[in-house]
Amino acid sequence: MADEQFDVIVVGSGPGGGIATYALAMGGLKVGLVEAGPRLRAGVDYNGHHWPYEYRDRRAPNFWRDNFVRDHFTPVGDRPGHGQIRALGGRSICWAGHSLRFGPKDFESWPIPYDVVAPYYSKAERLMGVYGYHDGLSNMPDGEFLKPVPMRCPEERLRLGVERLRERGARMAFVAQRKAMLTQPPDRPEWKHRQKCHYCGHCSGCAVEAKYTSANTPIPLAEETGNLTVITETMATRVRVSPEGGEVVGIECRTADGTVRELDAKAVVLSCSAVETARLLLISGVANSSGHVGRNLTSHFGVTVKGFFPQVVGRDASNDDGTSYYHSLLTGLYWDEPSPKFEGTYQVQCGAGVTAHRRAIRTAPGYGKDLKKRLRELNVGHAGMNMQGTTLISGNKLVDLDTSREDAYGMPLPRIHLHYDDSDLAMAQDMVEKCEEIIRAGEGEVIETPGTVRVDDLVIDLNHWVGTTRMGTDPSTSVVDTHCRTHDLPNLFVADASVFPAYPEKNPTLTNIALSWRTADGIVEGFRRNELG
Amino acid sequence: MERRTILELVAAGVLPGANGLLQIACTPDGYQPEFFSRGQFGLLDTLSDLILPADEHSPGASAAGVSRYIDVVVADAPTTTQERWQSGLEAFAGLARERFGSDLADCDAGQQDAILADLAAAEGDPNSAAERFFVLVKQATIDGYYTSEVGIRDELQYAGNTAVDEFAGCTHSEHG
Ligand SMILES: Cc1cc2nc3c(=O)[nH]c(=O)nc-3n(C[C@H](O)[C@H](O)[C@H](O)COP(=O)(O)OP(=O)(O)OC[C@H]3O[C@@H](n4cnc5c(N)ncnc54)[C@H](O)[C@@H]3O)c2cc1C
Ligand code: SF4
Repeated sequence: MADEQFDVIVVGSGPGGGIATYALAMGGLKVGLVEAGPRLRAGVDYNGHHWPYEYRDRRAPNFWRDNFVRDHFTPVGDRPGHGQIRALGGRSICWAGHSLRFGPKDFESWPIPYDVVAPYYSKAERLMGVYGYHDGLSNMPDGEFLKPVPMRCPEERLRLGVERLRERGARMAFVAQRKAMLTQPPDRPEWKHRQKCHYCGHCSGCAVEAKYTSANTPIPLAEETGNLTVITETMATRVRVSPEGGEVVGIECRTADGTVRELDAKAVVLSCSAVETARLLLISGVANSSGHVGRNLTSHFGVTVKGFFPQVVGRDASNDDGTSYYHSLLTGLYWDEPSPKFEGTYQVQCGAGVTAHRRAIRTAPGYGKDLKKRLRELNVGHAGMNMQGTTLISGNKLVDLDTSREDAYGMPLPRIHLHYDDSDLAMAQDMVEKCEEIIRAGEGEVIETPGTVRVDDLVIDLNHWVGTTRMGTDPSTSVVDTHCRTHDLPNLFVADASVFPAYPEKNPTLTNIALSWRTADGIVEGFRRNELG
Repeated sequence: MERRTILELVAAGVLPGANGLLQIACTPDGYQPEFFSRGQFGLLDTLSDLILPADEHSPGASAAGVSRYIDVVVADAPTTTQERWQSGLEAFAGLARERFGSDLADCDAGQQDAILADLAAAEGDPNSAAERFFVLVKQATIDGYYTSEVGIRDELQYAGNTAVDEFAGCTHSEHG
């Protein structure tokens, strides 16, 4: 006998689960939101504005660094990573807020076109509050933007470099970042739990809720409808299926003290994140008639190049904090003409500036007054270029279970296989050459570069995994349909980035939110038509 | 520091004990190093100041408390790291004595500079114990200095970590 009965259970409260919960509760359904972690209080459980010298080891609290669960998986191959924030809100608590729409070109490799998702991008941006400039780019459409935040001087030098290369025929663009932060007073009802951004740069745990999180917008709004029960510190351990196996009846879950509960629901939505959703499906042995759960895994990866612009060392660098390091973006590369050397596209997140906590440039040759002057100038005048390329989807990258290792809930840990393909290396090499070219075109000096890229230089973005339950119209090669309903079970849905069937260079979360909102709307519609429940 | 910890360090030969009485090393500003001997601590002061000296802009490493930072970080570090610092300091102290017959602090500016210049020349590919120690102490000095109040406020003139109304960004037409 189940303890509780819901219309829909959502598992996981990150960006995907948070928005699905909101849309379902607003749609009048009784929702149970099951989250492994606790509910945190911004400004109490995490707080910015510390100084390193207030702490014995100079490591001021950093919400992300201090709470990231990093060792909860088994790595295989070229140093894959996997991390989670176990808390109400998931990684939206510590995300950087970069919110870029995928473009029409990107959706050409999806079974749904851009126009289907575009209204949800607009709704998502209005709810989240996303700032940005209207850049008019072909494949990174402008959104419903709040007042933009400008670049710093060294980033302007990169922009100049790009402009000069464009004059010589290069196809690329250099624009300011777009982030989910309120750059204007919270004058909409959806923003009543939030405040205006005050440009302090502690965005990996915004203490004043200027940055959008699941925990400060969709979840409290959903709670206010009276339709939502939030069940924290509870791990879903299995998806429960009817005796005939034709439909999902709920979940089994466990609390840290070992108590096991069964929750019943007419539909279940998994939003555990790409690695964890695949893991839960594999453990439950459901929705995998295609054998594709955990396959088609991809993420972003890259290398870093840094430049120094002596022209700007005289600038006022007394407060560079802004919305933290990355204020700009190199984009528009290989959108129209694919590279002959590699498959896919990359973008480069660019940043600059002096902070209290992290010296971007931590060393230079020599000693004495010359070293001190050089370090000052380098920190004031440098720009960092951090590549974000999509790894090639291939049999070399996947998630499965490590049955020899269990977590505290008795669940096998996920195992992540990452072996870079030649295409990946070629892409990183191209990025290094492009970035060096841009720095020189901006009359700067390249101060950090891998030169010739080796596999050891590549760093995976452990927060950008997608693809493990990919969307498709053919049930033999995909896990969910175009409404993110599993092909195998009519009342089991996935609302997170696992469903991405192809991955452009852009950050995943805005698309995760837009798509999960659309999925939840489809579920509400299903209940209205009595197809569910 | 706990008395018990101090006694353990004395027993381990890290801190000097004299005449059966516990003697706690103490720097001029009253700081009692947790890990290093007073002599080692003084050497770190001299050395870190040579790496990041006072200039017309701001005070140097010793005024910023860099040795104190290094002391607590090494005190909290695993024994392998502590051993690297002990043996490194010994190798380094030996260098000045061998070459100029006196401790680094007693060498004149030209002699100190000669020692540092040699070590810095090898920093890309350090081979001897002293060369490797220079790389270690230089990184720790930089980290300690730029996370200190002096490094952040005086040297970098940083005035952030606070709430401001607007973010101006680049306002120079000549930059872009
Ligand atoms: C420092 C940092 C910066 C980032 N910056 C950006 C950025 O600028 N732009 C961008 O697009 N993305 C960014 N990301 C990535 C982004 O945060 C993630 O892609 C996103 O949070 C994924 O959303 P999700 O809902 O799939 O999963 P998550 O946010 O990981 O949430 C999953 C939730 O589910 C819970 N959970 C998992 N399994 C279970 C279970 N079995 N039972 C119960 N609960 C469970 C977890 O505790 C967690 O709370 C960043 C991430 C980090 C860490
Ligand atoms: S810069 Fe803005 S979004 Fe970032 S932590 Fe500060 S107030 Fe929050």
